[in-house]
Amino acid sequence: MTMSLRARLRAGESAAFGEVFDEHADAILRYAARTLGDRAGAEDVVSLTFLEAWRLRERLLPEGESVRPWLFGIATNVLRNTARRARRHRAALDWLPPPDTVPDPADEGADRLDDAERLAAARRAMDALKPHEREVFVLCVWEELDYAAAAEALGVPVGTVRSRLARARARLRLETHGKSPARPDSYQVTARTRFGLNQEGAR
Amino acid sequence: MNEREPLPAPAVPGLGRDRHRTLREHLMQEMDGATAPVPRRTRRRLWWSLAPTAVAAAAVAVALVAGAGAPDVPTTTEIGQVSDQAAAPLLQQFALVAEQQPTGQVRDEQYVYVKSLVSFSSFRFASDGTQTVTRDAPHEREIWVAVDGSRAGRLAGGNGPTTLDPNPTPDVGSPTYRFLESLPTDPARLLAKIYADTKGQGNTPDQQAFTTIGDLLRESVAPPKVTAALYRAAARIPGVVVVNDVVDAAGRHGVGVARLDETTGSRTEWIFDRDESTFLGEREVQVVKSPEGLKPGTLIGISAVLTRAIVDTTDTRG
Repeated sequence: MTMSLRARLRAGESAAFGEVFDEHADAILRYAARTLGDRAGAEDVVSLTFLEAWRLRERLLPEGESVRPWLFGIATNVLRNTARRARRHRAALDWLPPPDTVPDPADEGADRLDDAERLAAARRAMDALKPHEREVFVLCVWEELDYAAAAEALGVPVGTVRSRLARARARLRLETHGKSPARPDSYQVTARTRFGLNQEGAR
Repeated sequence: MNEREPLPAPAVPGLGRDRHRTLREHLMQEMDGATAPVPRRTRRRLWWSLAPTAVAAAAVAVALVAGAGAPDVPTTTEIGQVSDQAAAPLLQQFALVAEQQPTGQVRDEQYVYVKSLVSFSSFRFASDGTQTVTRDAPHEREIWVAVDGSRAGRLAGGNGPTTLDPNPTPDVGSPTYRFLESLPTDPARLLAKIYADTKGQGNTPDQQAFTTIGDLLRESVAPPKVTAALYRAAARIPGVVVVNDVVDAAGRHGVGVARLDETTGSRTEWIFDRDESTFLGEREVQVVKSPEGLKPGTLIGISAVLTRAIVDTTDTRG
């Protein structure tokens, strides 16, 4: 009899974590980047999320469908408390090679920079939301988790997901109504933070 | 995407093949290094021990990039002799010197800067029982942490600069200058707080208290009165001993104030300059064979604090 993926993860089988990483890393990256409004910082969140998943593997329920909600739940916690989490794994991240394949926005074509600007702009727009509403909105609308999966990720009842999402949408409509999209030049700093540090050693 | 959504999802480029492979490899190495059944170490396991396995990950990547990796760095060291001298009077002497240091004005918008030399060992336990220990060459590590924790910090060393998240909720395991400043300077109260705040962490409460104080002493700046209180608090922990001659990562000889972790068989040694009574660095060495089979004399990690300063920006160095 073959072991289920959940059983293999719970047993700490590294190949199982490799499979899960291959399947979900990009989704976690998107979630983190959209939550942070910064693509570069999101890579650390991906690493931290999977390190946390490994550390907390025995808490994964033995039964269930996709592990994606579980991973999104861990990523949500990482994003909620990046400072503390980063400390726990700080030494590990210290050693992770920097993303030398990530292009320098200064040398990059307009496409990549526009992506970064739009990402930061979208994040700024979400400032109108309360943190709990923001989490639900990003999970359900941007990451396209269904209500049940979002509820599992956040550890709240499905009804709570629904009501938070309704409030989030209402608030965003109110906020964006009649306003032109945020101007790119106002958040260039956010998108550049990480790169700026790498290039100049200072903000 | 539903067109009626008030805020459509912004596009995010994926990891891409190379980055995916690097991050995956890193995860694999982290798990690999920790797969052997290892007794719970102290919370600081992250500092000494997550780093070693991560070093292995870096080494793999390094094969592709260029740089570090040090096959000829010795992985064992001499186990220092425990002295007949009691630790408490020695720590008391260090405290008296520490509390005479001047206290400068420290502003919220400044940063604590610490430069150290560090070197970690990396362990692999194969299923056939063989173990491989390697140690990276001592290298510089620099950290900038906002005085009040409100702004991002910076970490340099190893493979390039990294931003550190702001720390709005400091604690004894993750302090800021303002947090340290708020600690009680009465040693008994301070130690009681450390025991309370680290309850349930580490292998034993005593060892956890000792390593927590070590963490606070190593990579931070504290007001002199607090530093002195930390020394005096450590003197009250059962099992703290003096080790005659210990060498830090920079090759400086000093006297060790140490405690054996009964669970792992490794000894954490704080290294002090005997004449100046200042904290030089720290070392963790396997003293008896560990449950997972690490040999006595294995050097688990070593550091040397080179500079401590309060600076104005994250690109200022003392």
